[in-house]
Amino acid sequence: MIKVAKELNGNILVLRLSGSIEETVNLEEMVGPTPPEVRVDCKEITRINSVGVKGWIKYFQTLQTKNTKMTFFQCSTAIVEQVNLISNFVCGGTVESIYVPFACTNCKAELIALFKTADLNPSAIQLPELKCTKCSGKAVFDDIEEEYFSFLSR
Amino acid sequence: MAQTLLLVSNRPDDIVFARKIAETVDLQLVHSVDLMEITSIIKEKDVGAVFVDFVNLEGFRTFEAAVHDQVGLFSDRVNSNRFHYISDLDIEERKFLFESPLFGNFILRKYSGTEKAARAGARYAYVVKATTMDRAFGIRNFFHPKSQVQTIQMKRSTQKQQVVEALRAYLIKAKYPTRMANTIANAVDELIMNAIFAAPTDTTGRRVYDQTPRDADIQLEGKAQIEVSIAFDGIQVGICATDQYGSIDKEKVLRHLSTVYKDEQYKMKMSIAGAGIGLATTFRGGGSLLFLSEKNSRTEVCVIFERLDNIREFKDQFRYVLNQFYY
Repeated sequence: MIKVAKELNGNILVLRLSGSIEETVNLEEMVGPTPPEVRVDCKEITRINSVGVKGWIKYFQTLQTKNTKMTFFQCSTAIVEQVNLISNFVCGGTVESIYVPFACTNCKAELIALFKTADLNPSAIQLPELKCTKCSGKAVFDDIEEEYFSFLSR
Repeated sequence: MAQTLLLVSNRPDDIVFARKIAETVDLQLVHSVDLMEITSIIKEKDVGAVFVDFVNLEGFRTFEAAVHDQVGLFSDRVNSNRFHYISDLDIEERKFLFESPLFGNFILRKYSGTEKAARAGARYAYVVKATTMDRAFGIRNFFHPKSQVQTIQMKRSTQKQQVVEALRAYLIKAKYPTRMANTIANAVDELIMNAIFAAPTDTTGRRVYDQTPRDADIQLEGKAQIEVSIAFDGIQVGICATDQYGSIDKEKVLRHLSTVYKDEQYKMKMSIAGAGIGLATTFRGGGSLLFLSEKNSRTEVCVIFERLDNIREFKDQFRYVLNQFYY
């Protein structure tokens, strides 16, 4: 189930969402009134089902119609997948940064690394090799590049 | 005498794929691209499965026309449940198939080279074996006979999250990486939700819960009972949600499966409580989908995922959409 932590800094509301987004989600009720700018921290969103997607779009479309400036940052892999699958998932907002999945070639551990979208060139994605935090082995990008970064080309 | 597996393809990898299936299921493999020969086999032999490779709409129409002229599209020699179409392109590129009475099952050819084709054949052999039965119901039919199978009877709709989370924990224990476990958990979430909210119909065929919020607490007893079964053989995991309505609409399912939301605006139907994107997401995420339904009696929708070393291979795995409809 989703949890929402709110932090108001002047005219900017920061929402930290965590957990899974499903049929019980009611962001309007959970968030309440919003200022002209909203920043959404998506780091801890583990998964989102189809009814959760519907609730998400319904809520952020309402903010879009109010001309709220929306920024999604630290997007988890679950959120990046939705951004890629559904063209209007961020409802006119900006994706500022995303977590990129890596896998250790030695111990198979799953790792993630944060990248700013502004630093990613959609026509030539270049990712560094990471060192596995568990075994110090080589960790490489673990997804389908053309899919995972496809939203950058929109 | 063994039934025939008819392969309509010249590709070496398809031959390896079909040969593996024929050996495993004990079918006699006949390989031809000659339309006269193909139609006479369909007419005269006991055909357990037909595998068709085609490169485009024109190729498919020629095949369809030959079957129409020589056998009859609605002949009792033609059972769409036993037709399997192999394609390099995804299902949304093959929408023309859905209009044909010959359309049954869709295989996304994710095998290149003989080794991968044989491996895919070994997986699909169980599917073919099940489709040669009178009724293919039961996840056990799609797995090795010694596989573990567990069944859960749901009592209330609000137990869904508990079931999904238990499954997710089970997968992680079975050494599925977290992202794979999440993808499978999401797929199962969709199956159960559809079984609870989309399957129930009244005597006129109207969907009872079309406008009911998906967080409603519904008692699942009698006709409304839902069964969730899980099979695991160490290589792949399969999960089925079974309802007692047999109300699934093949055309509607295929329409949802072939919609691409990345290219067009996802418009929500506010009058409908469901979202309609769950199954498409599952198939694109690497899962095979199985739809088995006997009208007004029972529907089983299953997902099958192979466990692979990394997400890249997991998302790009061999997969299929199986449609077994009994009237």
